Amino acid sequence: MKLLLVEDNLGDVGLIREAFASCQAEVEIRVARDGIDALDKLDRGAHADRPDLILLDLNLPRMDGRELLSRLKSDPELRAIPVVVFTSSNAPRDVAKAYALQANCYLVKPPDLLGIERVVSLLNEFWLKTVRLP
Amino acid sequence: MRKDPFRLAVEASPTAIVLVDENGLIVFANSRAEQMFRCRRHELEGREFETLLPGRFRGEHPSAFLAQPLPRSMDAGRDLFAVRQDGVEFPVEIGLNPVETDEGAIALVSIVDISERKQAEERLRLAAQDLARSKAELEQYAHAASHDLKSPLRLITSYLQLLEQRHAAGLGDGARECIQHALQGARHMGQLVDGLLAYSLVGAKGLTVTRFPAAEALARAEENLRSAIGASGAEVRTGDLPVVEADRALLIEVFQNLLGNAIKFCAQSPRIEVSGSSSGEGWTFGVRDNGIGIDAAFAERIFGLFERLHPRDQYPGSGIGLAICRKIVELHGGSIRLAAGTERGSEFVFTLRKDPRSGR
Repeated sequence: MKLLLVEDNLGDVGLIREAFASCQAEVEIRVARDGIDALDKLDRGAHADRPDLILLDLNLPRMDGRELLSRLKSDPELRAIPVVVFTSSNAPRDVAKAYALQANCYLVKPPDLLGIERVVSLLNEFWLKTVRLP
Repeated sequence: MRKDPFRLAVEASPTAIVLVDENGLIVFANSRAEQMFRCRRHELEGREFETLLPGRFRGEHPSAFLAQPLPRSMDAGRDLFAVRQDGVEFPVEIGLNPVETDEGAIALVSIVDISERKQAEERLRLAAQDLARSKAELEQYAHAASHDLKSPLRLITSYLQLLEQRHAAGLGDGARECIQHALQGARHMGQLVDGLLAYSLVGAKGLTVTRFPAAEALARAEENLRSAIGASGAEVRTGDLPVVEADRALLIEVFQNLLGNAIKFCAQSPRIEVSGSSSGEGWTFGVRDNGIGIDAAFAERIFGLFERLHPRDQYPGSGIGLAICRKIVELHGGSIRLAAGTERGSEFVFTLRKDPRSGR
C-alpha cells in the first residue's frame, strides 16, 4: 500500500512513521510538506505510483490542506483517492468545511503517543487492510 | 395687549409646526420651522408645503390628507426627509392632524428633525456590527491559538513517551522521574489550553434562550456526570425547580460544574441538594453539598480564571469551572456567589434574569 502523507511538521511525520511501524503496517509512506508539493508529487507520478490513500494535515504553508482537498476532489484523475484529514484542529468549522470539500474522513490528532498509535493502527486496519480501494 | 396663549405655546414648541390649507399652501409657520428650514417666516408662509420635501417625496401633500382627515404620521414606516432652504436634506418625522377652523379645514403639520436619533441609531448599528465581528474573530482566534499551542505540546509529550519507551534500559530512575515531570507539565498545559478555549467560547455565539424546566437541565448534567456520581456514590436531592427561560446548554454546564465540584471536593459520600425558586425578576438556584467547604476568605477568588485552592495532585482540575459558571450566569444578567463555605460543606447560589438582555 502507498500512502501520501501531507504534513509540514517533521515531528509529526516522525511520530506517524513510528506509529505505522509499531502496528507493522505494510505501507510505503511518501511525504509532501505542503499542498503544492503534494500536487507536484501526484502529477509527476505514473498512474501506478499514485497513492492508495492521502493523509492530510490542514494547516500547511503555501497551499493549505483545505485548498489541496478542494483541488483533489475537483480533479477527475485524483478525486477517487480517499483523503483522510489528520489535524490537531477540533474546530467544528474545520470539520464541517473538510466534509463539505468531500474529505472521506476527519481525524483529530491525539495529544500523546499512545493515542496516535491507536488512531494510526485503526487507520491501518480500516483504510489499508479492510477497505477495497480503487 | 394680551397675547394669545395658544399662539405663544405654538411659538415656543420645540417641534416645527406649520399649518397647511386645502390648496397645499403654508398659512402659518412657527419659529422652530424657521430655524429648521433656515428661512424667514414670510418666506415659508404662502409657499407650497411640498417644497419643504425633496422631489422624491412630493405628491403626498397635506391638502390631499384633508380629504381623509385622520391624524397620522406621514413617514409610515419609511425614512422621510425634508430639505432646507440651502438644499441640505435631513431626516424627519412628520405628523398630520386635521384642524377645523372658521375658514375651513387645515392640516396641522408637526415636523421633528431626527438627525441626532438617526446618527445614534447608526452608531448603535456599527457598534453591534463591531461586536459581532469581534465575537467571530475571538472564536477564530481561540481555535487557532488552541490548535497552534497544542501541536507543539503533542510533540513534546509524544517524543518524551517515545524516549521513555525506546531507551528505557539506558535511563536511570532520576531520568525517568524528569520525563514524568515533563509529561505532567505538558498535560497540565494541554488542560489549560483546553480550559482557555472553553472559557473564551462560552456564549461567543450569543445566547439561545428557550423556555424549559430547570429540572431537565439538572437531569442532563447528572447524566453527563454519571460515572463520577456512580464512583463516588453521590446522592443528588432536588426540590421543585422552576421553569426557566435561558440558554439550555449553558445552564446544563453551570449545573454540571457545580455538581462536579461538589462531588470532587468531598471527603465522604457526597450529598448534594439543589433548590430553585422563581421571582418577578428571574430565578434563583442553590447547590449545597457536604464537602470539604471553602474558606470565606476565598469567596471571590474562586471565580477567577485558573484559580485553585488545592494542589493538583490532591484535587485534579484546571481551575476553570467556576469562572465558566460566572461567565454564563452573567451572560444571563445574573450573578453567582458562595453563600456558605463551612467545614460541613459549601453552598453556591446563582441567579438568572428573566430578560437576559436587560441585565447586560
